[in-house]
Order: sequence, then C-alpha cells, then structure tokens
Amino acid sequence: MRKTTLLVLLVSSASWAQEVNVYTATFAQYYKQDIPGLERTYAPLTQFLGIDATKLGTENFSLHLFGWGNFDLADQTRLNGKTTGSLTYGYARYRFDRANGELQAGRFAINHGLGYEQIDGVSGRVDLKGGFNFSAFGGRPVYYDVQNHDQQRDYRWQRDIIFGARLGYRIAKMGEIGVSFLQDGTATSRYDKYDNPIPTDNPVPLPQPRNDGDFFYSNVHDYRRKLIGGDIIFVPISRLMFTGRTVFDIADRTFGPTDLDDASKIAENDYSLSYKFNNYFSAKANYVERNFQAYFAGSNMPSLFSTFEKDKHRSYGASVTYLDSDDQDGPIEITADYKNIHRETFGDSTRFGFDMRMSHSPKKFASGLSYHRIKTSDVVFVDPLKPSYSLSHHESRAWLMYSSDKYTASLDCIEYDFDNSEYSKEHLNGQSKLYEFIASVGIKPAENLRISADLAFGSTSVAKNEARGLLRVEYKFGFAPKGGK
Amino acid sequence: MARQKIALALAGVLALIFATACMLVSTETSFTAIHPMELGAGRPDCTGCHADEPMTNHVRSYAEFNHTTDFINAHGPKAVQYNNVCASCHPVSFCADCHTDKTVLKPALKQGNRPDVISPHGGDYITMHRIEGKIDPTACYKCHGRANNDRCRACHR
Ligand code: HEC
Ligand code: HEC
Ligand code: HEC
Ligand code: HEC
Ligand code: HEC
Repeated sequence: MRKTTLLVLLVSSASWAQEVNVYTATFAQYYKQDIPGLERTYAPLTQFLGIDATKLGTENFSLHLFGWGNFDLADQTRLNGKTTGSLTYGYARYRFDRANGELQAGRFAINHGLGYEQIDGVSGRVDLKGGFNFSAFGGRPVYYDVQNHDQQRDYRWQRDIIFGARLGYRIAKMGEIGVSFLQDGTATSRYDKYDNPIPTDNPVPLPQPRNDGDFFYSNVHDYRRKLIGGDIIFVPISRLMFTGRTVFDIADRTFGPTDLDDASKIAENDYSLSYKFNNYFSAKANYVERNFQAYFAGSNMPSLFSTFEKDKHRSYGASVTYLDSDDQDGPIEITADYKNIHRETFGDSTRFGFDMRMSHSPKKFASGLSYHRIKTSDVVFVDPLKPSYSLSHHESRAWLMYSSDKYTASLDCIEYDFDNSEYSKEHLNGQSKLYEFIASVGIKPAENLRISADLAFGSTSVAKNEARGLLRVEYKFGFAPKGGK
Repeated sequence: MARQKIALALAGVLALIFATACMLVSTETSFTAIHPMELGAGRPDCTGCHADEPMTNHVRSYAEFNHTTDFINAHGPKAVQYNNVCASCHPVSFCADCHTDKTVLKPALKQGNRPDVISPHGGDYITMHRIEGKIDPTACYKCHGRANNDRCRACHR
C-alpha cells in the first residue's frame, strides 16, 4: 500500500520536473533444461523501470525511482509465485551547492560507511571545516521477508530500526580516514525453542544452542547487529595507495554459546597496498581476515551464515598488472594474480592465473582471455567408500565484442575442467567439464533504443544440456544530461 | 522502550549536529553533480581526457579514478569515501544491478551482451557456487546474507 502511494507520488511529481529521464528495459527469456528423465521449460518476462526527475522547482531537488516486475509465462521459476516485483529505490534528494551537502528521504541503498544497506528512511552528509565530513542515516531496514518467520528468528528484532553514521577526516594530499558505526535492531531475542518468550531476569542457566536438523536453536541470543569500523585511504605519493578497513562486532553476546566466549570480536580486516612502478607496470597486495561469528550478524539462512560458528577466513593475494593505455589500437591490460585462501574448517585453497583484455581498431573490437587454476583442499566425507573428493579445477574464459554506432555483437565462452572424476560422477552428471557459451547480437534502430538477443547453451550439474534465449529491449528517453551509464 | 531511548538519543545527536553544523560547515563549492560530458560504454580512462592533477573541488586526482581492472575489482573503499564522485556519472540503478536486497536477474545474464564488464557469477553458477561458497562463504554474506536470497532458499535454510 505504502509502496503504491510512494509510486503514485513519485510518478505524478515527475510531471512538474523540468528534466526527466526514463529508462525501461524488458527481458524475455526462454530456456530449456535437459535433465535426465525430465525436460523443463521456463519463460520468464522481466520488466525494469527507472525514472529520474531533476530540477523539481529548484535546481537541487530531484526524485529517483527504480523497480522491476517479473512474470512467469510458463513453469514457475521463483519460489514466491508467478508474479513478483520489487521497488528497488524511490527517494527524494536535495543537494546543496556548498560543502557537498546532501539530504535523502525514501527508500534507498546506503554505503556511507559500514555495509551496503537498503533502508526506508533518511540520510544526510556534509563537509565540515578543517577537513572533516559527516554522514548519518536512519530508518527501517528493507529485508527479504520469508513467509515462515520461524526460519528467520532475527526477523522481528532486526526489522525495527537501523541507523549509522560516519565521521571522516580528509588530510590534504594524503587521503582520508573515517570511523563509522552501525546498529540494526534494538532488542535481544529471548525466546525458547518453542518461541515462548523467556523473562529477562530468568535465573536458570541457559543450555547450549544445538543443531536441530536444519536450524540452530539458541535460547537466547543477541541478534542485534552492532558494528564499529575504521576505514582509510592513504596516498602519500601518487604512485602508492593504501586502502583498508577494520570492523568490530560490538553487540553484547553474553547469552551466546560459551565456547565462543574467547572468539575474536574483529568482524573484518581488509587491507590493500598498490604501487605504480611506471606508466606500464603496477602491483597490488591484499590481506583479508573475517571471523564468522562476528561477521555474520544474523541471517535468514542460518545454515550458511551462522553466528554460532567459530570459523575463520583469512586470505592474502598479490597481482601484477601491465597496462598500455596509449597503444595506437587501444588499451591492452594484462594482470597476473595469485591468492591464498584459508578457511579454518575447510583448509587452504589457492587461485592463480591471468587476465588479459584488449581493444582493437579504436574501440570497435574488444577481446579478453583469462585462465585460472583453483586448487582446493579435499572435502572430507564420512562415507568410507568415498572418503574425500577434490574441488580443484581449471577455469578458462575467452570473449570478443564488436560495437559500432548501429550494431553490436559478442561471443563469450567459459569452461570449467575438473580434476576429480569422483566429484564429476557424483555432482556433475559424470561430466568432467562444464561450459557455457553465449552469443549476442544487437541493433540500435534509434538513438534511445537498443535491442539485443542472446543465445546461450551449456552443460550444468543439473542439466547435461541447457539452451537459453534472451531478448533484451532497452529504451531511454529524457531531457536531462547524463554523466555516464 | 529501548527503541524510544535510541530514537531520542538519535534526535538529540542530530539536533546537536545541526546546531553546531551551521558554524562548522565548510564553505567550499560542492563537487560537480553531473559529469559535463556523457561517456559511452567501456571503462573510462580519466587521464585520457584530463591532466593528472587534483579534480576540481576535490582533493583526489583524476588518475585515481581511472577504471583499471584493479579499480573495478576493488571499487568498494573508493565508493565509500568518494560516493559523490561515483554519483556524478553512475545512476544508482547501475550499482543496484549487483547491490540490492532483491534482484531478479543474475548480473551475468542481464549483461549477457557485455562480456567486457564484470558480472559476478558467469557460467553455470549453480554448480560453481558450491566451490566458491565452500572456499569462502564470507564473500557471499555481503550480498546474500541478509537479503537477495530468494533463490537460495530453494536449497538452503
Ligand atoms: C572522453 C573524455 C573524458 C573522460 C574519459 C573523462 N572525462 Fe571528465 N570531463 C570531460 C569534459 C569534456 C569535461 C568538461 C570540461 C572540463 O571542465 O574540463 C569533464 C569534466 C569533469 C569534471 C568537472 C571538472 C570541473 O572543473 O568542474 C570532473 C570532476 C571529471 N570530469 C571527472 C572525471 C573522472 C573521475 C573521469 C574518469 C572516471 C573522467 N572525468 C573521465 C571529459 C572526460
Ligand atoms: C557488476 C557488479 C557490481 C556493480 C555494477 C557494482 N558493484 Fe560494488 N561490489 C561488487 C562486488 C562483487 C563487491 C565485493 C568485492 C569484495 O568482496 O571486496 C562489491 C563491493 C562494493 C562495496 C563494498 C561493500 C562492503 O560492504 O564491503 C561498495 C561500497 C560498493 N561495491 C559500491 C558500489 C557502487 C557505489 C557501485 C555503482 C557505482 C557499485 N558498487 C557497482 C560488484 C558490483
Ligand atoms: C567520469 C565518469 C565516471 C566516474 C566519476 C565513475 N565512473 Fe564508473 N564507469 C564509468 C563508465 C562510463 C563506465 C562504463 C560503463 C559501461 O561500460 O557500460 C563505468 C564502469 C564502472 C563499473 C563497471 C566496470 C566494468 O567494466 O565492469 C564499476 C563497478 C564502476 N564504474 C564503479 C565506479 C565507482 C565505484 C566510482 C566512484 C569511486 C566510479 N565508477 C566513478 C564512468 C564513471
Ligand atoms: C556483489 C554482490 C554479490 C556477491 C558478493 C555474491 N553474489 Fe551471488 N548473486 C548476486 C546477484 C545480484 C544475483 C542474482 C540474484 C537473482 O537472480 O535473484 C546472484 C545470484 C546468485 C546465485 C544464483 C545463480 C543462478 O544462476 O541463478 C547463486 C547460487 C549465488 N549468487 C551464490 C553466491 C555465492 C556462493 C557467493 C559467494 C562466493 C555470492 N553469490 C556472492 C550478487 C552477489
Ligand atoms: C539448486 C540448489 C542450490 C541453490 C538454488 C543454491 N545452492 Fe548453495 N549449495 C548447493 C549445494 C548442493 C551446495 C554444496 C553443499 C555441500 O557441499 O555441503 C551448496 C553450497 C553453498 C555454500 C557453501 C556452504 C559451505 O559452507 O560449505 C554457500 C555459501 C552457498 N551454497 C550459498 C548459496 C547462495 C548464497 C545461494 C543463493 C544466491 C545458493 N547457495 C543457492 C545448492 C544450491
């Protein structure tokens, strides 16, 4: 109801805007899966609509709206039924001429600080004297709502409010540091297995949470998400850049499982250092650490993202890039990369390879080639006949693209080649290779209209053969200037 | 109760900020709202058109926004600190293809005609995600942990 009101308001107010841009895109898909003993056909139709209305009365006031609808013309492809839709955002924005001041109200996504949150609320930001800047937001979080709230225990506590702020300090020529805070939800959940509330002053010691098939029951748990973090971009000389952030989980989890008492409160450490040797060569190194129980602050899929797991992710990687942007034919970029990923409950994985991309005959043709080797630890099974299997594989990709004022065309081929025949038999229909091939052709009959058709086929773990056709019609009209895409 | 307190505290903080803000606010001109020139498809090389110097009304230089593979693969930190720079070229819908609570098309499918752009989950991801998800589930939490997991629930709880 409120969504409709907002929509009507936005659409009608767009009519008194001086500048309006409208974007529509229609995607019609048709695909067939050849599953052993079964053949399935899908035909979803998806419609996107975006409206940006600027200069509403004053130069600085604007409205932005974006959403989609999906209709199934054949079999059901979605859990939620034949017709689904969503208002991705719809908000009013006021921009000040000075101090990068900005106010927003409505539904929007916010990434000023910690996380990337979608909220129904307000936000603002401003530059202060002396190099400081401040931003804050507050409202209700927009979450994916499951029909069965039992499977999303944190639902009712997290729904109520979300707010956050960031204070940044910009040092001329050097970079910026910031501290941020985010809180989501205000109440601790104190419910027993049968969803009966437990009084706050319950003197009885609480039992450990346990895994009851598909849900980890916790009698009491602080599902509030409370984070503080610090971020930095430091550029002492233009060749060298250091970026990173540290995030702490500061929710009070005293009622959580006791074996997590000594678990780290650091949700995330993510740091990168890049250096440009000369006009052609640059290098980059990256370190990431995430502690599951601090990082996964609530989820509606607790089997995947559990706050009761004392697991840990740690990775480091490096890459070297060669970039020639002045080449007569167009830029050439080659990157070689290596990454070691450690997950405490799984083991070590490494990923290394290269990526290459080129443009030819001034930007009409572009192409890319990449190869990566992924070596993983073995997945250990309890089955004595198949005690373990490896997920190691090779990943290769090649693509080619042509675009002129009137036509576009592209080819994209991606292939995965698995080491382990046991894995292939069990999980990949006996195939040791999986591939996907996409060909696309497009035409621009008018300045604002683009039509393109993709044809894709491949083999997957579910279907030995899958073929898909997609028709894409994008139409834009409007009078407002646009900067990019 | 707790909610009221927090709302009150928030209102207090905001009021305080507004009161002091008037004196504290910088008097500098805002960063350009819209990039004056419409750029076509393809990753822009800022220093192809601009000198390697600080941008107007900004402390950072044009070169730091060259859309190299490194820039694209690690755009997060820059998007946080310089979101007004990104906003001068990118409508929010551009970012929403990958960052939203509920999407309907896998980015690689939506952009099937654009092999040159990054699209998470190319190829048969229903199969491959088991491997990437096992290697590092924290990488998925950002986008699927609390939202955009309509599709996952067919197989996961
Ligand atoms: C195809 C050429 C081209 C490319 C590529 C390009 N720009 Fe621009 N840019 C222009 C033109 C033309 C102007 C308007 C003239 C001017 O003010 O210099 C402009 C203006 C600007 C301004 C406003 C300057 C002012 O004085 O108000 C900023 C900021 C800017 N560009 C940033 C960028 C960034 C960041 C990139 C890379 C992501 C970029 N530009 C890429 C052509 C380009
Ligand atoms: C093609 C998909 C794609 C598009 C389009 C995209 N992003 Fe991202 N973004 C990603 C991926 C993937 C990551 C995660 C990278 C990582 O794990 O470090 C990410 C990370 C981020 C983060 C860090 C989030 C966090 O919590 O760490 C921010 C902020 C962000 N993007 C902002 C933006 C903005 C702003 C835009 C639009 C200008 C945008 N992104 C467009 C794929 C995309
Ligand atoms: C001067 C304009 C300009 C600015 C400023 C700018 N971008 Fe872009 N960006 C572009 C254009 C043009 C493209 C290419 C779009 C296309 O190929 O369809 C692009 C592409 C991208 C892509 C997808 C690239 C790919 O090929 O896969 C990401 C992600 C992105 N930008 C993020 C950002 C972020 C984050 C910021 C701010 C820190 C930013 N951009 C600032 C113009 C800009
Ligand atoms: C930058 C955001 C982002 C990140 C990070 C991300 N995803 Fe996704 N993912 C998406 C979007 C958007 C979709 C499309 C959703 C849809 O079709 O409903 C998607 C779709 C999927 C799908 C369905 C694919 C299909 O073919 O239908 C799977 C499976 C998936 N993601 C798993 C993962 C896993 C595992 C990870 C971590 C390794 C991950 N994702 C990380 C944004 C992301
Ligand atoms: C068609 C069924 C299916 C769908 C849909 C699906 N998954 Fe999975 N997923 C699996 C299977 C099977 C595994 C492997 C389980 C195992 O090895 O224990 C898996 C494993 C994972 C893992 C690794 C778990 C671990 O810790 O080992 C993650 C993370 C994951 N999926 C995320 C997602 C996300 C996010 C989505 C939705 C965007 C999604 N999955 C959709 C079937 C699916």
